[in-house]
Amino acid sequence: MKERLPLQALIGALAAEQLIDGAAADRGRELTGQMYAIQPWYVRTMVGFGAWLASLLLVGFIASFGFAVEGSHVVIGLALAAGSVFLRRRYETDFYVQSALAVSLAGQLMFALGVAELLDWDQPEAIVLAMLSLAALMFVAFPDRIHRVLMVLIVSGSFVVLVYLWKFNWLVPVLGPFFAAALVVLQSTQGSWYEADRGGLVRPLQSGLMLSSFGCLLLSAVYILPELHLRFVFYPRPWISTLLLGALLLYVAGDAWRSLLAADSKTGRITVYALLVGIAAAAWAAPGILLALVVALLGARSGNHVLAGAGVVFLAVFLAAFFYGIETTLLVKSMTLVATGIVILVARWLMLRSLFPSSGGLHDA
Amino acid sequence: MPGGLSSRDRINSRIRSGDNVLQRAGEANLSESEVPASHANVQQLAAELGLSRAAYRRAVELAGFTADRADWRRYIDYFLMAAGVLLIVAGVAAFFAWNWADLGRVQKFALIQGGVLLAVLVACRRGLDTIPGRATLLAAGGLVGVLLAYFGQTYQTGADPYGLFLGWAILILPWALVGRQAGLWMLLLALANLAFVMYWTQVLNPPAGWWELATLLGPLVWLGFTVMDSELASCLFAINVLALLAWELLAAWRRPTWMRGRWFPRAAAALALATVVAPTIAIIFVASLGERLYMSLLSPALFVVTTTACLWHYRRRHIDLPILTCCLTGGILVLTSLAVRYVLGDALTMLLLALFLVGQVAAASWWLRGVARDAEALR
Repeated sequence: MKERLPLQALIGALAAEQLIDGAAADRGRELTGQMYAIQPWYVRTMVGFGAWLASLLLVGFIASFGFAVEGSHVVIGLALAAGSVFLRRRYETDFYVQSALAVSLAGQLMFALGVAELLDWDQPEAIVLAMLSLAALMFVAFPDRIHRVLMVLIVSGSFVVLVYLWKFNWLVPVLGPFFAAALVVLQSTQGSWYEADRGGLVRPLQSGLMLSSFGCLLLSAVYILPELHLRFVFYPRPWISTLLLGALLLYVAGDAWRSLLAADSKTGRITVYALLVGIAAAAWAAPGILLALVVALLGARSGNHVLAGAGVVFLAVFLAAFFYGIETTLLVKSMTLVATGIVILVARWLMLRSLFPSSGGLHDA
Repeated sequence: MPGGLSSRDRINSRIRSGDNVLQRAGEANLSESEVPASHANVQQLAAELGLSRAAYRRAVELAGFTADRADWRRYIDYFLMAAGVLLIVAGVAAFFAWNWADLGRVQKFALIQGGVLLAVLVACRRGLDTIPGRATLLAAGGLVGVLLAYFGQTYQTGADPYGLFLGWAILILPWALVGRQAGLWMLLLALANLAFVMYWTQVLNPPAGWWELATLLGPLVWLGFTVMDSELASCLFAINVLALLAWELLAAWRRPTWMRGRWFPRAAAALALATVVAPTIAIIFVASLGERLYMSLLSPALFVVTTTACLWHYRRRHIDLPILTCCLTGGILVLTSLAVRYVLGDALTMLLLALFLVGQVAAASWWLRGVARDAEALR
């Protein structure tokens, strides 16, 4: 494993190359001090637990004033959401951060309940749209990474629910690849976001889009008991997702491995792309495999081990859900698993020969 | 700005709030100059400073995030190897699952016992001081349980289920003694707890009436209900406290390398505290219903004594922040439960309770900060 450069040394190097000024270097060193002296996770958990409980008690106290007037929960919910934004922007300590988080979520829930009460619970589309709109607003207004990830999940989850409510089920196989494509674009343009001082938005947006795409593709592995005789199709035409994710995989892999393939190595290029097309074809009925590979490749390309690990974990989860759900015997499942495993080992051998033809591959760096 | 306060204001507010003085006592011994340029840290730096595209690109290069040829070879090699092997192993497991009903008893026993033997052989071959060796010995310990479960299923002797866990614990005890790893001791402790719970609830004091319904709701729910029996919870407390004391005394006396890790004593302390905090809270609420339900003042008394002893020892003799945090969390839970039981009424009392809780958490956090500062000064 590579040895990590100390953060202060990196700041010093950027200052020496005049890529940052002295004031920015000083701020960077102060930030290193923050990272050094961060509270241990178990203390933060205790503080967070206490903050959530206290905030919910406080919300209960405030909400008790709204019971007399119908629809007042809309106003109280919005007031709590606004209050949480103020609290979060004003204070940075763990207790206030967690309190603000709890108050924001409680406020948004209260807002949604208030809208539902006003509409007599008759128009679920309007309720979901209201939730989606408030979550989108809170994503920008509330400056906290975890909160922003939750807001992205609420927005994407609400959108999926709307798609089902409006009976646009044909759109479902496009959503997962769309979120994944947005993730790829965000990762490629990350530097522009930091330059425009929008860095606080990009990381949570990436995490939220990744989780949203995982959620959408897991829908394709949902197993509905035949005895229920349900005509509802959760995920029509999964091959659409396979085609879109296959194209995304070719783009990401091609971009990532451009440096590994010599410009005149036509055979190497053909072999690699043929293998990728073969993987996409093998995953025809299981598009989640391609998504997992896209995310893992993005993580490997950018040195983001968390992203790469998330891709690997999703691969395991998706495969488990997929194989549990398909209607074949255990014997067929076992044969499919063993055959796929052998194909992957052969693909590994071919890839290493094509991309790293010299015998001492590790010395090729 | 979408971030609200400017980057500088945010950093300054953090410094003023005193949030920067609590350090990870007893964990990674990093100095400020050693904070790594990890992916998360560099992204945070870029966001806080608003780095230009050129500066961000250069920071990524300097931090070594861009994968080179050797990295790609390693990723492709390891990932595809792991994926291929795991899929084949899963396929083999599925094949045996398909075939299981048709296999004879001897074949089934041979498979499980073969797994145990293979794991032990690998552990011996790799060495008990290596990670693979320890992992396979732990796996062998787990497979012994599978073997005993299948034995009990095949030869229905009518023995009580606690015998499975007791037998399992006895059989893996020699491995725990020679294994030089906390994992096997943790497994042993878990088995001791389970065996005792089973023995108490099935032989000594079987629950009657509506308590029996808890067993239908699944093993975890049933386990949760067992702490309502204050006497049982106190016995479990004794088991876990003895384990904690034994570990701390041996570690202090012999100082073996493999006992330097703190996760076993922390887990034992957390279990011990859970077995006194949960029944104490149950007494506070259930006593209001006028039912005795095996309640006694033993658990609250043990809670007070244990918390006091842990706070003294792990503050004065051997600073351990996680255990101190567990003690304070237990204390907050009990005090808040008392407040809810005797104060909660109208909406105003919710506000009072919220303030009370805020005060407790703030005080606990402030105290822990002081302890961590002292621990850092001692190092």
